[in-house]
Amino acid sequence: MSSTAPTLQDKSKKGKMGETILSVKNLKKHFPISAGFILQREVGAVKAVDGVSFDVKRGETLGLVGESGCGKSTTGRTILQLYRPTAGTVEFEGRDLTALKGNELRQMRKEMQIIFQDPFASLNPRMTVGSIVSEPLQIHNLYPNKRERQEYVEALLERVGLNPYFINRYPHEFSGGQRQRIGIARALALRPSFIVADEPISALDVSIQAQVVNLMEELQEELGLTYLFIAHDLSMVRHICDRVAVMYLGKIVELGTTKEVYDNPLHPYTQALLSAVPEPDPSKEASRRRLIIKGDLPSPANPPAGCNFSTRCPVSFDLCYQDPDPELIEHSPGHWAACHRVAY
Amino acid sequence: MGVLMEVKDLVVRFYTQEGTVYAVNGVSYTLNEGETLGVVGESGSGKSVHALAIMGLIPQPPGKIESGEVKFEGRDLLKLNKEQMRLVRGKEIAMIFQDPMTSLNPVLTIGTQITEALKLHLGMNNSQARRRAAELLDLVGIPDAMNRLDDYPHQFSGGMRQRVMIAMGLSCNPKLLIADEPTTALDVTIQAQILELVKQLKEEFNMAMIWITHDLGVVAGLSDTIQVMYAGKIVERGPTKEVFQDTRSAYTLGLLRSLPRLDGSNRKLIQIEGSPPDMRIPPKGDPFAPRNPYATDRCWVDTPELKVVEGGHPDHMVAAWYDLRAALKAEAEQEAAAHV
Repeated sequence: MSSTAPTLQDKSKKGKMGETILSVKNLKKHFPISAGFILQREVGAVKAVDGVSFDVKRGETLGLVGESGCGKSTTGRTILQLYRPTAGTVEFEGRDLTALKGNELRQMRKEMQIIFQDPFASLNPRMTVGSIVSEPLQIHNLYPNKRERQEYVEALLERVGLNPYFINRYPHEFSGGQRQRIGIARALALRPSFIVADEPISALDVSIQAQVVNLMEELQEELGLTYLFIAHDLSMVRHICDRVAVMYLGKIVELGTTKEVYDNPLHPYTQALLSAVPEPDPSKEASRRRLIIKGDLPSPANPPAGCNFSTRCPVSFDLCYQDPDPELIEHSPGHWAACHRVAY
Repeated sequence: MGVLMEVKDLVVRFYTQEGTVYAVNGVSYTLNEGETLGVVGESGSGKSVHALAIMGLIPQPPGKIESGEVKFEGRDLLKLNKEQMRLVRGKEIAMIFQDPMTSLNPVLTIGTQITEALKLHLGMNNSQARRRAAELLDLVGIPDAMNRLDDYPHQFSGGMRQRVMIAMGLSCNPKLLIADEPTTALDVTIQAQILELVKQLKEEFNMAMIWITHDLGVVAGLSDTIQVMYAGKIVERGPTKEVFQDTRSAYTLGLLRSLPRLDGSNRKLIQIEGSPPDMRIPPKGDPFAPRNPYATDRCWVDTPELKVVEGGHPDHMVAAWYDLRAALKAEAEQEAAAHV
């Protein structure tokens, strides 16, 4: 482990821990809905991300949680400019990514990488592990010497817990957990400072999840990485994240340190979400009082008037059904919530 | 409570081009009337295949039930012919699946699909069946049930579709409901809704249930008995509380230790090393031995049988050569000594 660490580490270019590395302001991503057969026209938009703002500090892990369709993955991808935002700015290490394009943006990508959810779909089945992990190096012209490149890739594989001997094998020869390690090696290849982990463990078996999470934590410690950890598994988020943002229908409804949000959730949606998580402890399960919210997530193409959560909220009152939506307000230092009930 | 079903030494294999898959390797247990059994295991543990074998739904070939008995109220289901099995399936034993989108027929209305079983098994006519179907949908919490009978599956959300599946499963008042990861594809808030519903309905219908899942949290609050499976075998089985609090299998312990807790009480996750076994290799010894820090020499050669645990609950069984309780005690003493 220690022999490979120097090649992976490159702290000279990194800034100070704790400073703001990423600043997202009023980010919106609307996907158009079109109608008509020949003359297509836009009839509406799916508001997948609808005005999201938050900061990420260097070296921390920010969790982004919510149910499917709440816009958490779209947020992650829009930050990386894999989707171009409809509105808003994404400032990464002082530069606004939304204003960059072409080569300038490609240069920034060295600093920010992504780990995908599905380790089966996100690795090209026709490429060997070696070529998958070294592709980013070739694109960015790092390690032009073939032998040095191979050595570096082998070191990377070893660091993520794979036998470097497997460098010429294909993805289908690996299990899900091993494939996710390949995905992590690929993301680390360019020595990024910031990684978006988009549900990196939800496709894995329970006994493998802890392995991947422990690896991610070790790497963070060693390389000073910053993570945006997107997940729906609230217990795992509590474990790995320093701060957490809860999303509902394209908006952040609560944001705070993990401890604050879990021990003292302010928004009724966060409260319901936490009470819905089943715990592997029969005596706790027997005594637990569940807050079950009724109904389903409304369509993001046609969000309700007023607060997005008003249709399912157990404590909503007249103000919640009227525009404008409740704003994200800081209720105690660092703990934000967007709820009329909490505000008044 | 009487015995409802007895599974004896069930062995299921699949003969594929890549070799023989040893999916279920000798599973035996009894299920009482009204009991809820939680079957826990990872992918490839044989938990779903064993349920499909009970239902007579193993595609043969490539699958083959090599040996075993499934005695349901005295009759061996494995010996029934196709026609006889059709009368059991849906009426006596119903099954709900993980993915309600692929297990509902997309080109038939919900009403058609629910009434099919009612007409076949209970001999209802069309209007009787429709009335009963609407009652069932109402029971599982689908608003405006009568009108929604004419809707197609895609017009329902994921949670609603799973409710429709449950309504279909319950339609003939079965004695046993097998649920194969029914909430895995759902969000937590919807999962909580479905779990609450199932708990209510189980009381009302007084049926036995087998709940198959990989999530120890789900079965902790739901089942009377827990059965942990690994590599096609039962490694531990017992009353829910016993399995969680007096764990005797190193695999069960590994699963529990690798789960983060919502209250943040376990700071470091203790991972299970290695990966799940390749089911194409014929089982030899204790299949968990390569990943088990407490394995003894015997674990590598002899296959342990399920036995009642020593000094524990009489219904608590484990298949292990090692003594986990003693090993953990020694570990704790060593740690205490190291601190002194």
